[in-house]
Amino acid sequence: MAIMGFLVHTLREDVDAVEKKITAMPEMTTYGIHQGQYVVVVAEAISDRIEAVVEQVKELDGVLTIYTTYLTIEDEMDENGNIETNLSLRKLLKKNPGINL
Amino acid sequence: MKLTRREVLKCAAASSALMAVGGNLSSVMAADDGEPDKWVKAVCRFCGTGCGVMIGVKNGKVVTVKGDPNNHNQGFLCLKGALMPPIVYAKERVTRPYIRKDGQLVPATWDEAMDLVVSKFKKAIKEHGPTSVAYYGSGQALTEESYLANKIWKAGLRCNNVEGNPRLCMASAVGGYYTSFGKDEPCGCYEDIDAATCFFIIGSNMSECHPILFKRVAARKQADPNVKVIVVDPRKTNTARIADEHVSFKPGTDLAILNAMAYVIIQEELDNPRFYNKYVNFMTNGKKKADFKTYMKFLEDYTPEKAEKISGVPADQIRRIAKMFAESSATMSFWTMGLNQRIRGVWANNLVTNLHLLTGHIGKPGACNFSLTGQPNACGGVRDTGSLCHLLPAGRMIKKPEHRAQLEKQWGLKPGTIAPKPGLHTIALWNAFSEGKIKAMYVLCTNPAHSLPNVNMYTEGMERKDNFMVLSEPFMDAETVKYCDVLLPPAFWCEKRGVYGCSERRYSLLMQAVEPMGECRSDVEILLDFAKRMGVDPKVIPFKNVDDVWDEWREVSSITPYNFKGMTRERQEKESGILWPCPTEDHPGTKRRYVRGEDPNIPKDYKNKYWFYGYPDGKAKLWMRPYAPAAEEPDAKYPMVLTTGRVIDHWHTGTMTMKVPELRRSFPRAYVEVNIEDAKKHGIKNGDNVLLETRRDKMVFPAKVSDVCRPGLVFVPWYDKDLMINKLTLNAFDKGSKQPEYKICAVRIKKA
Amino acid sequence: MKILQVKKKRKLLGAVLPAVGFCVVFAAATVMAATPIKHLIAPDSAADCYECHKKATPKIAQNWYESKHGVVLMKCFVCHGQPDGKGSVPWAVVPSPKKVCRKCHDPAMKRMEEKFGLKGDCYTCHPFHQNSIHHDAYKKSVTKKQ
Repeated sequence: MAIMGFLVHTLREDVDAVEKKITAMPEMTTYGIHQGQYVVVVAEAISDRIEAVVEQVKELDGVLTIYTTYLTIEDEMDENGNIETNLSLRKLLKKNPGINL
Repeated sequence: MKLTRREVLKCAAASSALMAVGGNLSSVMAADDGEPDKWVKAVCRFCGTGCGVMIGVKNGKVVTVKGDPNNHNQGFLCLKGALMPPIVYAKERVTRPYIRKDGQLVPATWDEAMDLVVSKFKKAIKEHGPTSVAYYGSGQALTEESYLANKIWKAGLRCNNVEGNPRLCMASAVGGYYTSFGKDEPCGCYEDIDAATCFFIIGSNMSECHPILFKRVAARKQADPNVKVIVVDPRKTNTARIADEHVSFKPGTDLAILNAMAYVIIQEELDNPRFYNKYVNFMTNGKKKADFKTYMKFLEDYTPEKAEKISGVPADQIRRIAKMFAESSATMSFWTMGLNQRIRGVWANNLVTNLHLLTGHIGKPGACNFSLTGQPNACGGVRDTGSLCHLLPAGRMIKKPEHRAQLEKQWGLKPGTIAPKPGLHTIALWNAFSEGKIKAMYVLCTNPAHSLPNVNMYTEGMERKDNFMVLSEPFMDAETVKYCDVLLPPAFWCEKRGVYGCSERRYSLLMQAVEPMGECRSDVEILLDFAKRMGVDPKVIPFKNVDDVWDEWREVSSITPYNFKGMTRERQEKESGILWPCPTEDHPGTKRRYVRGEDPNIPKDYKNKYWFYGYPDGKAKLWMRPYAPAAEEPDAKYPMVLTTGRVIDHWHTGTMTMKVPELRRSFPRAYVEVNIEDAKKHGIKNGDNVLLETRRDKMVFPAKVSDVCRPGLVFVPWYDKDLMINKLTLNAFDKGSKQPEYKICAVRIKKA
Repeated sequence: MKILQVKKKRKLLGAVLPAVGFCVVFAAATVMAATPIKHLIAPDSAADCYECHKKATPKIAQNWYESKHGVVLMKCFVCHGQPDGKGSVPWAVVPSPKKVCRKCHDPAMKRMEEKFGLKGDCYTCHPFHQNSIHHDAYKKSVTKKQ
């Protein structure tokens, strides 16, 4: 199971609607609205699906972008210390250039 | 409470996100975010608005800019001004001299380059006389650079072939002011915007070419909804967004519209006989003094109905805008190239001024006929220093013996030093260069291989082997670099110190922010070196540095109405620009000229409120200028009108703005703006390639289909050196101002 | 399908420590990763943001167009830079007031600071693309009827 913590940056007028929609999604847990435009979210899904699951959030109306702050797939490690995953860190980092907030 | 491991990890994820929003976001940024070590006061490198800027310097490099809060722009900048820093460090910067050998520019030392330049100039003068050499300067050069070059050539080399690119942009405005008032330069200032109740904007896309002034006009309209804005332009530009009346007309027929407005103003009894009877002479086009009755008769050819036939503007609209203009308590007119770059540019300028003289909208807060200057220093640098072929510093003329004598005395020259015959104006000059009659030309801070009209003619001439061109140009990719014989590396904008004088007669000092790159030198240094090597009498060119040049110019101005002796360097360093005249060090500068109590040239006890001292009888002149068509009207073969202009993102030939990634990507290529109906007629869709043909050349541009241009008109911006629209434009010029008609020529279009 | 081989000895460091396995933590203070979502890569006129954003984010685009910034052509890239990071202005969905706003609004920011103390961001009270405090920019429009 991958666990990803991120901020969802929305338009001010849509933040409530977005938060409701995200809360309704099974893989998501929200931790409130902050500064009127950020929703704190933690997503849980298997690592192969975590990207797709988060993409769904990006597609929501009113969502400007997401800022990833935490990602772990430690749970998927087997007893030999191996992880099988399609998640590419390199690809993930490439898609997400650094940003000045 | 027992947390599963998973829950712990989830908490870690949530808290890391919360940390991001919970804390003070600005403190999340790196503590040292490139805050400058110092802020240096200067002026923007771009348009004639002349915004003050503060240049942020860190570790000896320009890192950012912000607006100067104490200059007229009150801290604001437009998009070009805000993005200047990367230009300074462009990789195309010329950082050392070059000499052309076997067709290629080869690096050289300063001595090698200057020795070659001087040998060519000396040879030309020896074999063909002083009229075989020339200087072609710029409204973007510093005042001290232009003043110095003017003196070196006219007093040192005794050559009056001193010209500059303001001939291509402001000459008609100069001619207009001269013929109307006997003196150049506007009589009001930017502050008038805050008091005006009607703005008449004609031949100007102010929102893209003078953005900060446009902002001030828009703010004025927001503050008082009764303020009226009239925009007269065959294109419905962004400027028209705030207009109460947008007047679209057949290109070139604005002369008829302006006369028709005068007709309506008189018919509606909105003219001001008290003002014009006392302060205005009515002049026929044949320079004969006439009277008001003659003027009324002249205007009978310009009833609104007759003007409608000529211009396509509904008579009703002409009546409306005439009334708006006259009924307001203070009307301010703005114009730029739409009126100036015409073979009837001087006439068009006169006709706008006429409306102000007829209604008395002059000399009061908010009332002014304000010609907007395109370049940052065409006023202060070229017009005021008289760096044109027929002028001498401070409004004096070469052809007048008393002016020559007066200047010779000021400069300590032997009587008769200044040649009595004016030199060649820009088009004539480049014609002569192209014919091999001018043997050596010094080009400073301008890009004639891109900016001259009908430019193929002139680039062919530049390729001749029997003429020599030395070019001072900061950017290797400027078009003119392809043709020069010697390329000199000048210090750029913030790497040197000197004055810019903007549209409102404000002279502001640019302080040097950083050291020049590589082997670059300021143009003042280069010119002083040139003069020394040419053997110019050191008594004529005694200056050690740029401040010496300024001090002499200050002194020279003091016996003329320009008198800005009070603008010492110390004052300039402390203040953010001062408006001339400014005769003494404690004088605050002059907002309104020709007005008793405001203009220091007028005694405080003068009998009249206004004194147009440019003319001996103290009166301004209202000229009866008729409508006359453009040089090349559309006809059966070339049925449309081609006009050129700028966009806000790019400055002139793009040598600077194309270095800023955002600006380059905003408008990477030229295009042709086609009206929706015309596009339909020709089967052209947005993005299609369109072939434009004039009698001079043809070129393919991608189409931008919109409702901006009126039907029958196409517009092409001129910043693209790979799609140079000046290959298609016409070099016919105004007989009075010698300014070319970039704005109108005949074209045909076809889907390519 | 990638298989990551992890050295066995690292397993002993304990399950919670992120050294084991494939675990990445982005500290909030250093790297903030954001996807430039809904973004087209348009090499031609890539800085002509408005043309595409008219359709992609019509509300923001319209707000900007009708705002003071829109009327005076203070275009998107002056504050936001370029989404691929290749602009001279650093790319920012939310521009930095100190770096960006200050270029033109320094006098007003200084006055604010003296009077009210400068808020960390300007946009809590001054939404960038609108002019709610200063009312309609120069001309009334449909979306601004509030």
